[in-house]
Amino acid sequence: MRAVRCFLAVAIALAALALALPQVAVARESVNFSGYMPGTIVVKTSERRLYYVTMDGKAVRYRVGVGKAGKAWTGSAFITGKYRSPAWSPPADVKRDNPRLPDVIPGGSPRNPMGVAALTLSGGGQYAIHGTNVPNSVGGFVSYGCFRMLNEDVTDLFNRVYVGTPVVVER
Amino acid sequence: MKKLLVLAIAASFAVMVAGCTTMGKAPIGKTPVVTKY
Repeated sequence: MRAVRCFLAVAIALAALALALPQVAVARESVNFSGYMPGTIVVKTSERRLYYVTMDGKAVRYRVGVGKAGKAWTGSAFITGKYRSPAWSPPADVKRDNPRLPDVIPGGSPRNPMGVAALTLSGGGQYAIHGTNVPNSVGGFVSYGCFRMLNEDVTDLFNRVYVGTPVVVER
Repeated sequence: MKKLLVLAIAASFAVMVAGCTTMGKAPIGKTPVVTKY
């Protein structure tokens, strides 16, 4: 009897731990949202939030890092590519600002700013929605115009979208 | 009986740890993307 009680206590503790762990790092939530077709990504720069419109006036809301002063942008685009843990090469303007950056950082490296996934965007601005290797920076005005998400969140978004998904970036 | 309980607890713990450590991990890609960040 004592052993059964002990087992139950351990099982309950483990279940509670398993439920609590994913919530530590994930900041997404379901909210009411209208004005866009289901399947659209909407970034509200001033809120530092990204919305993925699901259906019936609902959206999944994620915390994101957005462009720092002078680097933020607004407009429409669509997803041109989906990459899991991609290797990353800095474009010329980023390399100019950070000459010590290597030409290529392998996928999966702790120095790779793409984190676990990248969704590249159309428009020629070399922008992407991606994960991060600096989770503390998510939620701030921190980027060169890309949208930086927690790795857990970009994984969730990655599984919802496809090449061609429209993206609207608002002020 | 006790041994079985200990084994059951150890097995559930191992399954939970394995689940937590693999969750959200993706295969490492080789395609370099050239984007800002």
